[in-house]
This record gives sequence, C-alpha cells and structure tokens, in this order.
Amino acid sequence: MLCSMLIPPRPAHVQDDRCRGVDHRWRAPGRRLPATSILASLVLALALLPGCSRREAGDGAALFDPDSIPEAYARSTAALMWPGATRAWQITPAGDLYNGEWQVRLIPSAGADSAAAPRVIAFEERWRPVAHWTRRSGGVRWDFEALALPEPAPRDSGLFASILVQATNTGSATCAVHLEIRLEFPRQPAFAAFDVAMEPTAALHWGEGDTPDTVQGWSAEHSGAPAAQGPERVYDWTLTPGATRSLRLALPTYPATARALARWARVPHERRATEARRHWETEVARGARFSLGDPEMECALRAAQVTLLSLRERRGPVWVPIANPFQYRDVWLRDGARAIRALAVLGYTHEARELCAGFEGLQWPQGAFLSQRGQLDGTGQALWAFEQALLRPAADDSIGRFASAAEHAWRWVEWQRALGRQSGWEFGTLLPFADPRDGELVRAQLLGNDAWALAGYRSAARLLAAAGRAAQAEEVERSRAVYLADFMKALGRVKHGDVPPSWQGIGRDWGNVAVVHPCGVLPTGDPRVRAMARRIWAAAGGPGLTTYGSPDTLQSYVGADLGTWALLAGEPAAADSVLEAMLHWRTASGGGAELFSRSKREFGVNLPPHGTGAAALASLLRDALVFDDEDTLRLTLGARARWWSGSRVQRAPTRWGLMDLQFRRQGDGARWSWSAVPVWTALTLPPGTRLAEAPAAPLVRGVSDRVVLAPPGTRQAVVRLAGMTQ
Amino acid sequence: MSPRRRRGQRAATAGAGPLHRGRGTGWPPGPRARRIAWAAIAIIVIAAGAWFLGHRLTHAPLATHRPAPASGVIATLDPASVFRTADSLGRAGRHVASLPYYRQSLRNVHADFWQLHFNYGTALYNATLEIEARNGLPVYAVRSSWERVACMREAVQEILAAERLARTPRDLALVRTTRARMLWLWGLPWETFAAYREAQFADPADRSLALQADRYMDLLRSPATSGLGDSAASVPVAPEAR
Repeated sequence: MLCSMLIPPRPAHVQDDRCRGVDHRWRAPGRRLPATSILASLVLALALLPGCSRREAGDGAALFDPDSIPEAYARSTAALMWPGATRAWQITPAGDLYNGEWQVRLIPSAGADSAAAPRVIAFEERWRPVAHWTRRSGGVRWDFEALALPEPAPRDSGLFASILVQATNTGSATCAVHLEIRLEFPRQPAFAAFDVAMEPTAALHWGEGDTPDTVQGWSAEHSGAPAAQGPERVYDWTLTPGATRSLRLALPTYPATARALARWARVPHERRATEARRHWETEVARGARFSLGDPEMECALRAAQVTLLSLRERRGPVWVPIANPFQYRDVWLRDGARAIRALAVLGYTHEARELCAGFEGLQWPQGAFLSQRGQLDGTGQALWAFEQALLRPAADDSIGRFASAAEHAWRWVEWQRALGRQSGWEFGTLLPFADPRDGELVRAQLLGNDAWALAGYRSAARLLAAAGRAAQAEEVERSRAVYLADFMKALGRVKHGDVPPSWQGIGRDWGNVAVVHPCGVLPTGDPRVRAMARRIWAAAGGPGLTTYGSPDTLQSYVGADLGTWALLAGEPAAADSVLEAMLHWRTASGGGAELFSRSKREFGVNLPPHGTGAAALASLLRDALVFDDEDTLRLTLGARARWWSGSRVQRAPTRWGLMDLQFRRQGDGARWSWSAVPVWTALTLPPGTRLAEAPAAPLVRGVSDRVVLAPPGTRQAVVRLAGMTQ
Repeated sequence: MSPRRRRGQRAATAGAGPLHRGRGTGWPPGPRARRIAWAAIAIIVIAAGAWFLGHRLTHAPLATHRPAPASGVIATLDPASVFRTADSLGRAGRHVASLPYYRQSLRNVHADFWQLHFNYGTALYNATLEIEARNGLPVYAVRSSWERVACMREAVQEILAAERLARTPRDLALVRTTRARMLWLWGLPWETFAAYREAQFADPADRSLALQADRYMDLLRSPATSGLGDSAASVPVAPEAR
C-alpha cells in the first residue's frame, strides 16, 4: 500500500550515528527487588553518588536525554498505540499530541522565551513505547514522558495516554514559567480518524476534577484557567534554581468523563509507566528470542514487534492487520500478509493465525482475495500468509477451513487462466490486467500478480497436503507446473533486460521484486533476477533501500525481498546493506516511514511507523539467521561478524517445529548447535571465512566453501575456518 | 431441612427483624439487607451490561462489517416511505445512509421485485466508493477495506438476485451491465468482460451492449494502450425506479 506523498521542503541535516550502547542510558523497567539488594544498592549508590551522572527528579522519575537517541528523519514523531485500539496518539514533531480528531497543544514558556520544538521524540532504548522528549525555554528544561495503556473495561477500543510534564529551572535565577495546554481541532491535519464526525458537533473540554462531565483531556492539578470547562488550561509556576515542578495529564483517544480519567489517574504516572514497560517487556519476551550481542539490532527487532502487535484491530470476534496507526488505518492484503508472516516467524503464532481468520472476510464469492480495487496480488498473498502462519511450528487445527478457502481461490485463478488461454492473446495465459493505483502504478498485466498467484498455488498445495487432502494438493501442484511454464515462456518473450514490473514492460518495480523470495517462482541463480537487483540497486546508489519514482524517494520495505534474495544468492554483504539501511532509516521511537525524501530526510504526511517496514526488518533479520521456506533449513545465511561472538535464537517457529540455535566463532573454528530437524541443514560460515579443510563426517561441503551441509537429525557442527582470499 | 427451605424460611420471617439491621449497626446483615444488596448488584450488572451493549452499538470499535441494522424507527414507517427514503438518499449520494432503509424494504417486501435488489446492491457498491470529509480530509465513508469488501460481497449477491427477478431483456441487460461496471471498478477484468457479454446476450437487439463488450475486450487484450478508462464505468450507479 502506498499513496502519493507530498514532501514539503525541509532543511537537510546529515546524521548517521546509531544507538549502540544506548541501552545502559535508560532506566530499567520497574522490578521488585529483594530487601538485601535494595540495601546493597543504596550503599553502592551513596558511595558512587559524586560520580553519578543521572539526575533524579523530585518525584523519583529518572531523567535522561532523549536527544541522544538517533533519529533518521528531519522531523521526529512517535505513536502511542495499543493492540485493538481504534485510535492512536501521534506525538507530533512540534511536541503536541493528535489523535485524528483533536489535538492537545502543549505550549511551555519561561518569561518571554517560548519553548522550541523537541529535537527528537524517543522511546526508551529506541523500542520500549514510553516516549520522552525535551523542550527548552531560556534556562528551563521541559521534560515530557508519555505512554499508552488500554482504556479500562468495558471499553475495548480506546486508549488513555498518561503524560508527565516536568519543568526544571536549570538557570541560576528564580524564574516564572508558564504552561498552556490547549485542546483544538486541527486546521491542517495529517490524517483523520475514521469515526470523526463530519462536522465537529461538540466543543472541546478540559477536565480537572472528579466530575461526570465528558472531556477530551484531564489534568491532576487545578489551573488558573479562565473557564472551568473550557478547552484551555494555564499553569503558572515560579521555579527557584534547580527546582522542578511537574504536572500529570491523562488524554483519552475518545471523549471520556473526567471522573473516569480521575479514577484512572489515581494510579501515579510512574506506576502507569511501569505497567506499560512490564507489558511490553512481557510481550517481547514471549516471542522468539534473538540474543545477538548487538543492542541496536535487538532493539530494532523489539520495536518491530511492538509495531506489529499494536497494528491490529478487532472486527467483532476476529482481528485484522492495519498498515499504520494514523493515515493507513485500513486493511491491505499486501501489507497484512507481510505482517502475518513476520508475526508467525517471530513466535506470535496465535496472533498471526487470528489475523488469518480476519483475512477470510476478504475472500470474494468467486474465490479471489481482494482488499483494494485492482490489487490482484491479494489472492496469492492471502494464501501465502495462511501457509506461513498455519504451518509453523505445526499445522493448526483449523487447517481444513483455510485449505478449503485456498482451494476456492486456486479454482478462481485457474478459471481466469482458462479464459485467458481461450483468448489466444500474447499474455493470455497469465492474470489479466490490473490497475492497482499503488505499487507498480500502471494499468497493465503485472508480473507480480502472477508471481504471487504462483506463490499462492504452492501455499495452497501445502495447506491441502497438511489437511490430508493429498489428491487435491497434487492437482494444485500439477497446475502450478503448467502455470510456471506459461510464466517462463512469457518471460522469454517480454522485451526487457531482466524481470519487468509488467508483462507489457511498463510500471514501477514492486511485485516483480518478490519473484524469488517469497514467491519462489524464479530460481535464486536466475541471471535475470541478478540483473534486476543490480538495476534497482544502481538506481538507489547501491544495495539498500529501493527508490520509488523519483531517485530521491526511498521506499522502506520493497527492497527487503532483494535482501533475502541476496542471502540465498550468496551475497551476504548486499543483504547486510539492505538490513543496515532499514536499521538506519528509523525514528528515535524505532519506527520506519514508508516513503521519504533521502536528501531532505522528510516523510511528509506519510507518517511512521509503517507496519510493513517493521515486518520487512523482522523477516529479513530472521531469514539471515533461520530460513525455512524451502526443503532445506538454512542457518546463519547472513549472520554479521559481530553476532558470531556468540548468539542464540530461542523458540523460533519453523516448518519443523520450534527451534533453538546457538552459534559462535572461536579463533579459527565455528560452532553451531540447533534443534534437530528431519531435513538437511545448510550452515553458512562467518563473513570473510571459508572452510579450511573438508568438514568432518557427517558434515559435507555445500555448494561453495562457505557452506556446510548437515544431514537430518544433526544437532551440532564444528568446522575449521580459513580467511577468504580476495 | 434443605438449604432451600431454610432460605425460604428466613425470607418469610424477614419482616419481623429490626428495620436497620446490617452494616453499621453491629448486626450481621439481615435477609432484607441481603435482598437489597443482591438487587443492587443485579441493577449494577444489568446497567453495566446495558451500557456495554449500548457502547458496542454506538462506539464503533466492535463494528460489524455492515452498517448498523435498521432502527426501530425505520421499522415503524410505512413500507412505501421506507423505499422512497432509501431511493432519495441514494440519489442524493448518501449511499451508506440509505442502506438501513433498503434493508427494511427487503424485510417489508411481499412481492419481490428486481429493482429493490438492484438498488440495494448498487447502494452497497456505491457505499464502498463514498468519500466523506473528516477533519477536512477525504476519507472513505465505510471504515476499511474489510467492511467495503463485505459490502461488495453482499452487493454481488443482491445484483444476482436482481438478475433472477428481472423479466424483460432490457432490465436483465441493465442489471448485468451494472454488475460489469461494479466488477470493473473493483478490478476484476474477466468477470467484467463476462458480465458485459452476458448483458449483450440478454438483449441482443441493443447493439450498444455488444459494442461495450468489444471495447472492454480490447482493453483486456491491450491494457496499456487502450484508451478505455475507468470513467467508462461511470460511478456511482444510480438507483432504478420501480
């Protein structure tokens, strides 16, 4: 999914630092410590106090500098979101909050100095969704901390944000500070919530006490506001040097009573923050665990997990994936399929399967899966998503239902092909034209639609086989062979140097990029694929993110499939460049924008985080370590040198069950240990190394001296390494 | 004595107890206080349940894939008014708003007629294209593709129902042409072409139908160079008068 983007000019600013080592700067999530530990900590803290750089606020909240967190874009923004919530709070680059209906403007000042916009909006460790940002006015520093939690039951689709505003006088003189909070309907919003009234019917009200009034914002402290129920609040404080004053706010995404907000806010902000931290720590921990000794990568993966888990909405009893918490709060098969796959391989089997059930609602009576007008790739993507989620780590009980849906879809594609075959037209045996208003952005017969349909055939066969319907699975496989032959024949006829976006040769690179992975239509070594990768990367200046339309516009996730292709093609450096680019182009809150200007580092109104970007990063990382889409398990295909210091993957779902993997390089040796699988395992050596000698039995040398093969049932392997000759 | 009888006995003697026994008196809660407590709990549970149901129906989060069902008010209107209202809302471009009226019309109908299914089907289809301004931005009137596809699934069924009921060649051709236009806009080319041809076969006397099918076939054959655009599908589809 993609829409036209308006990119306003912004000043360019180069920044390429990373969050390496930032984890220690953050406060650890709240834990209950034994008394002895507390005592020991107190003694140690007293001993080290003179050298301690962390500043503690009066109420105990740890302060740190969010501005130290890298931010790839010129403007920083963050999302306060929650699974199942139908709205989210955007923390805007100005440091305000907007929920798609009204905005909460926070206008701090000290004397005549108004506070500037924050430099960044950062999540803790660039992933844990407790947001921090700092603004400064004169000698006063304004620290903001914000988090989201679900609105208390019985409401199930709203969220409450808890905000703590702290003003600290860092100057040497007493000063008067002023905080104005204003509820407004935005004049030029970046997005609108789906359920906003067409015309604002109610005035906005700020609440302070425990009243039954319906309000849009609430604060714990009475202000000198002009009207008790008005949309503005004003706080005037006098701060002596070093003094801090704080204010607690509670912001609902839907109007709530002041009483409900007051009740919720009886729990102090710090405890709400701890609650949010614990929730997300637990959520991240229950998925597959990737311990790589690489804090930046691990934090990026956690940020992706948070995004993927949050971008889900309910529809009655089922869940559906949405692409983004703000402007793309909608369902796309092309985006949802990627989210389902990522959740499945990250160990969120239940969530991935719930989303598959949501996809059932997108099947048309004739069998096609279609979410958006003209996007015929949806059928293949839905079937692929079913297979990805329902067969890992073992076939789900509901497999029969999804196998039937897949069979219905397969019959629809076969019907399409049969009609086309009768036409006798040049590309008649392929899917008809499409006008997706997205992706390829052209009206033509899109190669990606056929690639995805073929992926869907493969998935349908696997689903049918898993459901015990072997004869139908074989029938689908046979039809896939015929379809694939038609595809190859057409590719031979097309007037294009590599793999074009459409059979007519026109359009932007999109679905064609998926032709090897995940669609499995062309073999990895096909020279046309290599030529396509070279062409696409050349346009972008090298392996990494791909361009879209303008050479200056980067697209954050389409190139991930080329990254996996590069892993399979034995080009780990190129794959690593893709991963590196995805790591780089993230906000300080860990999300990636879908489309943005490289030179201006500007995403316009296409706000991050994008779910498919998160899915792409997670999938590519996982593929670099554990790849199980074929008949061979491939391990450490793209493991970085740093990870070889000793890494561990735990509870990774594969087609052969849950897997644990450990790998380490020690001197001139490499060692792997992993859960035994009933298929051959291909082990890729550390970067820059090759086999020093023939591996000891039962291991055998692979297709190159960088790959070792282990027979089924093997649990560990050790090989001797030599350096690569240039 | 069974527990049941014991409870009954206590209830029977409740009136003889002190008036304000229970909490705050130093006495254990008496039967009346317990009844009051149970009644209060029941009221709270019922009120919470009612509030929850009301919230579920009005607050959108657990929205079903269809717009809300016809209200009690619509059900009380006379059938002709309901159908007229649906029709006028559709002509005014308020397709989503027209849906409950069409649904009620379907409930009211005794002698089914193709126009009702045709109009309801086209209203569902038009609803998937309806755009509203919210906070100054254009957004789909129907929440997400999940609901829009649900509308289209129902729309196709309704149009097929209209086809079954249409009696004259001209009416049948009109319904089939409309199905073609719907499927065209949603991007299902072979289904579109098939529907155009079926329309042509329904009313062979109308030469324009054959021409329409031929033009669409050209588009199928040469999608990149054909001059035929989506505008030829001319959305939205207007309701048909009975």
